[in-house]
Amino acid sequence: MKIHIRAFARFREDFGERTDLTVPDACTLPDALRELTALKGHPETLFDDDGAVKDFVLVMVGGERLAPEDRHARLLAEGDEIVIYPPVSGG
Amino acid sequence: MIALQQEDIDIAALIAASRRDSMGAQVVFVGTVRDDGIEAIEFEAHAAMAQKDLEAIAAEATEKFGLHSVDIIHRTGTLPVGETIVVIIAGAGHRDEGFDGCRFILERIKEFVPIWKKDIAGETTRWHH
Repeated sequence: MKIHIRAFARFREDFGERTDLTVPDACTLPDALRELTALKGHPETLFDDDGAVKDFVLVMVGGERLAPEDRHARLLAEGDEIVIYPPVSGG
Repeated sequence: MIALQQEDIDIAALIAASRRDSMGAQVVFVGTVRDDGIEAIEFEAHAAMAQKDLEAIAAEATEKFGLHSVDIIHRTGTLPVGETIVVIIAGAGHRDEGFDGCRFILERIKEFVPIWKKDIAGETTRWHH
């Protein structure tokens, strides 16, 4: 199935602003991010030494923010937009 | 008025536009680019999400502090030292709610609104996170 990943700020510089991916149907969010780093490099930006998504990486799926504890099991759907970004620094 | 924009902000006009006869206080916060050994800061935003978040924060502050009006304008793009970054105006019946509401809004913006800043000093750049 097709999904796309948008990256902001420092992540945009590592992965590009938007990446369209074709992934297996039963694809979880971490799986998709692994596909992204396999394609674009910089796995250390998103994953820790144990291969888990780093806590400070902020993720939205379909405009909904995901808490770190909800990410590992989150199954993606056809056409999902995933947004990844570092901690915010506005104001 | 709740907005993200690149252009500079006419603060006096914003204050005048948001004033109500019911108010006894308009607390205005202006965030500016501080000279920390840099020339400018570049602000990037997930504009759609940031706009939604700023509107939600304004509604939350209005409810929590009984504010009469809330204005939040945050700039994006590259802003040199000394320039205005963000303006928050909390209009209230009395000063306590105005000060508390204005502070609350700023802290909530810093907490989760998808806006990022990168320091620029000559050829050197550095993201804040």
